[in-house]
Amino acid sequence: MKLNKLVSSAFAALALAAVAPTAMAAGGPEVKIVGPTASRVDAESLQRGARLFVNHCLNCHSAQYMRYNRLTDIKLTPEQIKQNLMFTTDKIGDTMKASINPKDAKEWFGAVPPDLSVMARSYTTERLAAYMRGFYRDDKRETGWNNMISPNIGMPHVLAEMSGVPTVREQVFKVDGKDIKTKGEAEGQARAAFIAADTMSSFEHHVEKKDGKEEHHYIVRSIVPATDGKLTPTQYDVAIADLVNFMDFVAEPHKAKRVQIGILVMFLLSILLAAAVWLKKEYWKDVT
Amino acid sequence: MASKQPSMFTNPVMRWVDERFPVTGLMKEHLTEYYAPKNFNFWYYFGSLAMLVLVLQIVTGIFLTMNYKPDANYAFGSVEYIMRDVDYGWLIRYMHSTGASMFFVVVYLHMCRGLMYGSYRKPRELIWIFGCLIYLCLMAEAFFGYLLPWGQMSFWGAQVIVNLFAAVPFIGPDLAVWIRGDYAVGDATLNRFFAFHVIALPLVLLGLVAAHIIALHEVGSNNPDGVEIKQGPKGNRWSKDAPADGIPFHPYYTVKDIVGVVVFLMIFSAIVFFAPEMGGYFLEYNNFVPADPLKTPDHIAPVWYFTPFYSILRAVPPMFGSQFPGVIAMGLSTLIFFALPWLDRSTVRSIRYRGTQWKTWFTIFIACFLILGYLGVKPTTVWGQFGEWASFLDTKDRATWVARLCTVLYFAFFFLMPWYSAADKTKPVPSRVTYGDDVKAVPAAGE
Amino acid sequence: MSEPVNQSRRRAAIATAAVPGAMLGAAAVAPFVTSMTPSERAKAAGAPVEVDISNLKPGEKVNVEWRGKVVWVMKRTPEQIASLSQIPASQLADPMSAGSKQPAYVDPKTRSISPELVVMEGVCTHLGCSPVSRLTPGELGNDWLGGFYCPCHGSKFDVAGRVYTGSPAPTNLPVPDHKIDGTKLVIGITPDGKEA
Repeated sequence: MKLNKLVSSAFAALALAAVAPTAMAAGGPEVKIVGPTASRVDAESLQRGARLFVNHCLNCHSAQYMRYNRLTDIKLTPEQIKQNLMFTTDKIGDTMKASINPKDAKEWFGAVPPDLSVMARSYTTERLAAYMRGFYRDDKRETGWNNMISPNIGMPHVLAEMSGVPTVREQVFKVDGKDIKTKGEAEGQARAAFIAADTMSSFEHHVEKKDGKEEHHYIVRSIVPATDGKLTPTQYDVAIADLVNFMDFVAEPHKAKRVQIGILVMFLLSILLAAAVWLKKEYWKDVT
Repeated sequence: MASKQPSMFTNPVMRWVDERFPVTGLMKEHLTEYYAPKNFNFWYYFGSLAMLVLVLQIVTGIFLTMNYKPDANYAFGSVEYIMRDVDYGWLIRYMHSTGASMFFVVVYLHMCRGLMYGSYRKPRELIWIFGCLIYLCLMAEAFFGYLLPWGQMSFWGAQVIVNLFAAVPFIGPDLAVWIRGDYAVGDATLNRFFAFHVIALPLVLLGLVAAHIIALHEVGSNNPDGVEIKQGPKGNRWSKDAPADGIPFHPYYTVKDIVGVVVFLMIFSAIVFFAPEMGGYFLEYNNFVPADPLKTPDHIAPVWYFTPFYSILRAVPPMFGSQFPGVIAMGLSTLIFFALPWLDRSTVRSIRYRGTQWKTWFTIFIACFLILGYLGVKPTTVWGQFGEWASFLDTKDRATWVARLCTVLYFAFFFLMPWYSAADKTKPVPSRVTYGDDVKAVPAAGE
Repeated sequence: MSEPVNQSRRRAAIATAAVPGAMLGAAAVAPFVTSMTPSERAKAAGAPVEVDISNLKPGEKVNVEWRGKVVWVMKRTPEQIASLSQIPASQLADPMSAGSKQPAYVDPKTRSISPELVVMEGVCTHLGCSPVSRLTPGELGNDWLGGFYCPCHGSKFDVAGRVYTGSPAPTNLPVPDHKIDGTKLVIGITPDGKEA
């Protein structure tokens, strides 16, 4: 799904590759992702992603290895780049710096927001998309936000204007002596709820000591998409897919070229292979 | 060595050189009149392929050093600079990173060939020892090189491995500080690892490769039958003194190796151009995060080619409150290969004529090596845990116990070899190599 | 024993393998060669440089760095412009800059787009030293009309950077591509906007 990239623009339009629910366990709770984790990659998607990236991400993050003039690779003219996408510099050969002063950022978020140049390579595009869709309102947090993929992260939901304010529905299953009599039943019901959930959900098991006895809690959290945003939930998912496509491009700007050259090299090598096999056979007639 | 011979050239310049430098002599000795057994199979490609990868690594490495900066503040950025700003820097870097892994693929297959056909047996002990030294040198080269991108895995991998030296009794902690040149892996470490990676070890490696080949050409190549062609009849269509079953390396094995090279390059290019990360095995995801001494990644695993030995390290429990036994076991697991020529007491060389005992042990060894390799890339809990009933085990992790079993079998393959190899029921070895439709054994009188 | 060798078939096989082999060999060498050309960072650092010339007074010269070289931006006085015609052509090695580096859109004699504003690289064409200003007439002998003097090996240039005969420097000081936009001078770009 990462391979095709720009080359794939020849393929018929396929708006969203709806990926079947993917389970992700990376320490912490188990998470189920529902809905798209990627979209078709073409110049338009990348350009929309670029706009989102410079307007929202670059406020706090940098992409210090990415030069603005590389954006010509996604079919933008230098004039378009200068007029629409450059806010912190007027030199098109410059790299993408954050608008915010890193010192202020550290004070506000507790850490300098990481550089995004190769974020798509370390975090993977699938997790990035899920992360951007995984924000929900949490009043216990100083920022007012929490995230299902990276719990308790310092970053607030910067795209709340677009998505609206998603909330979370929490179901706790534990032995209560009535509907749930055993630990196994609690786990079973929680599993069932987790599987039945039709939005991004997490499954967590934790043990509490109470009066010297262990109490098992099975918690299922499901995101409740908001309807008060500028975009519908589906439109928001597409916007995130565009953004992630762009971040994938930023992480490896030469990827499309790499694949193109690769096809040519493989073609030449297969011709050479045929010739080499003939050559070998010709000589080895001597060996009896 | 190369004695004076009539020049093979007609070109006056080459004739002039030949009178002063043994071009003809060297080419005859190592190519046109080096008679290799005619029955080489698939497994015999990997020697020349290792040579090819070595050259690739040296050439791409030279070009990477033109833009890389061995400085803790700039190293990570300079790699991204190579990946983005240098024209085709990405290609050169991917070739180098893929080459590192493919070097080990090729070398492991080459070693496996040696094991299968008994290429370490008398009179080829020195070839084998030079080969083992090359392998050790290669591991050091890979280890030093892996720090250079200065990502999280680079940093923490180096941290863990250097800390192994701290487990050495008495001098350990001082030794680790001396290796790092600092109290933690830092700029000084990066700088010296760079020096080792780009000049010290490549020089040693080239010297060892030369020795490996000179020793090989002195005694001649082994072959899948393990039959000594020099002891067979003499005379073939190229020379009446050469072994009957030998063919000139050039042109016959050059044209054959070209086929191997092209197939290898197809695999190599497919990785470089279509999957340079190889699903996180050749380039680890975490290594795209700059080194951060304050933040340990959730799961630190070495690159795949070290994982069998890393598993052995993890499998050995701490004894007397020290990790040292694990370190010893890991060291021994790589050094034990040196002893192979003297551990094997079989009357035959090749797996083709060995009996069930050796074949079984060999299969177990390969399986253990692969399982240990697999476990090494995973957290220790990969196969879940034993139930409560297993509380008598000091750890309930199933994977740990599998690793322990594999470690024991790994060493048993070597340590029990003097007995099972001697006791094995071998098959009769033919007097000539088998080639094409040849009936096994029976050589016809004359050709 | 064995069939005789078909030499022509063997040669054909070698040729067949050599063609794609050579193509791939060349293709493999190319990236290594191009990797040594200026990188994107070097290109960004060598991007056109803008100079504000609104405060430059006649007779003044400012030094600008462009691609690691000193570029002189000088506004000439009417006397200095007049001096260019007073030097006999025989005293100049290349009076019309036929063999010197200079874009086609500058006047070959004044070596500038407009007579006043001259832009040239302050790098001696002999061995790369930077000549010093000797702009006062008479400063280097009675017939000196003002110009530049290279302290390394004594090359002399007039106020248009034209080299006097007898100097070790073979050609005039190079004029880089530049463009004037009102009070803004851009070095490293042609008047029609092409980057050097």
